[in-house]
Amino acid sequence: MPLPRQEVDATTPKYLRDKYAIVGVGETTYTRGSGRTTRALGTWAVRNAVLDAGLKPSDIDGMLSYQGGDSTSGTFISGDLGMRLNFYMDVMGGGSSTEALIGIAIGLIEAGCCKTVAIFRSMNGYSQVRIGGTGARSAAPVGGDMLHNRAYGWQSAGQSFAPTFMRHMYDYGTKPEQVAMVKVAHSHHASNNPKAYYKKRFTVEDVINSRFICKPLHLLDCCVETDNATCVIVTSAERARDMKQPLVLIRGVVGRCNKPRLDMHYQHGPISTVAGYYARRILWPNAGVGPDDIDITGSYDAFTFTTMLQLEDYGFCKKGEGGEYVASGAIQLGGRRPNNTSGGHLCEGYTHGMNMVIENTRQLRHDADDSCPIGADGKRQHTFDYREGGCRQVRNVEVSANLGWANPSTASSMVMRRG
Amino acid sequence: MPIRAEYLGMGLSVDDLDIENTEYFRHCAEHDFHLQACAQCGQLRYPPTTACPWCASLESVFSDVAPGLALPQWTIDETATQPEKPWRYPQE
Repeated sequence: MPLPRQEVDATTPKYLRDKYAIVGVGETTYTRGSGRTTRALGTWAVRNAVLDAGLKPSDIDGMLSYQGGDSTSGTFISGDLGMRLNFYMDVMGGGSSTEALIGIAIGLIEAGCCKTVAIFRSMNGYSQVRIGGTGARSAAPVGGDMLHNRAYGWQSAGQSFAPTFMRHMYDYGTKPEQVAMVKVAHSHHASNNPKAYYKKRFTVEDVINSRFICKPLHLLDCCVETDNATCVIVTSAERARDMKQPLVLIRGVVGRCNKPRLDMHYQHGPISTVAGYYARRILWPNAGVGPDDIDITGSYDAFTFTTMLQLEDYGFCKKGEGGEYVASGAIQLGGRRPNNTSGGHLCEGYTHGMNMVIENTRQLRHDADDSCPIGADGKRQHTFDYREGGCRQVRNVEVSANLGWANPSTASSMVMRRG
Repeated sequence: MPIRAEYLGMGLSVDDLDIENTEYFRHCAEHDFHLQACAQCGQLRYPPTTACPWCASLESVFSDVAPGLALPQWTIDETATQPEKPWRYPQE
């Protein structure tokens, strides 16, 4: 196989570290059947994020969103909330867009286009446009590049990614029982998250005994489809210092970094390696930290295998040992480096990556919104008792990594730290 | 005129501006499994693309494929999404 084209050094000047912050996070409920438009959901989530930041709508002068023809535009959300924007753009994109747009927001502020940017994703992912192989998308005629995937039954994310997962099992002996531990961990986390759509705790046996969707994916290896909107607000660290919430700083961002031949990455090996292999070469040098410095991860969990593959290719374990890593207990609350402490896409709700950034922001504030009692000072008194229905705050968390995923060939990521 | 066809209950459409796919399916219609090959470096590629992913040449030809290729990956889909499914997999 010929080698890919020359590789590019995309590391940035180190002074961008800690120069920008996430100052507000917000979301709607996670439901199936929201009973309202994506415009109404988006307005709700953006408003919540603005209030969380202690800002007024008029303080927001930049807006970014992502969608796949299934949502509304910043045009309507900003108008509904009475904002006058100095910049807005709605981009095409699903998973991995969150961190990428945070990077774009930083670039916009650096370039002087605007000062404070709200990034939202609004979707009726269950009651309107579903991501899987059913509904409006599967009814549309097959043309263009779809002639070579949808026609052959390669439509849903599970169908498209399954060969990568199967090849990882073949190359490294990864066992479905190991990877099922991702669902076990995330379901335990969700049971301590009052917002989560699925709060039930599952076992490895539950996952392995659930019906096959597309080998090696069982039903419980796949994420939920839900209706929800989510928002994060980015501004400079300088402005953030005077705001309401504890400071959460952005150390480094990677946006939609790819394997070669992303139109059909199976044409370029290794099949069992995902885009994190390339993204980590930007993420860790830019952030000035490595995997060992990370306290919590937000590794995208469209599927259990997705989480495992990304943790492996970003270097949280040796190549080929992702199955052992996720089965070791390290990714569960109380473990060395918990992943998706809200329950993620497998349990909390499907947002194309935004809820994992929201969760890590709250974790870094030491203010996970679990069921722990609120003290006289108005702050939640975390017990660090991770039994069902209890706490989900990670003790003394200082540094997080979000690992976004579009598909095996495209990844975004971000390191944040407590200020 | 675009080429239209029905396949497993789905409507397929190849736009007449899509010269790469039109050429690919013309070979298929003649029952030839031919892949696009770069006219400059000779590398095969699939699906059809508008330039060579290896050397960026715009020129290509459709070429016979040597037998004996390996299968690098597979899956079994229990929830096939095509409206008509002409096959059935044995259940374990």
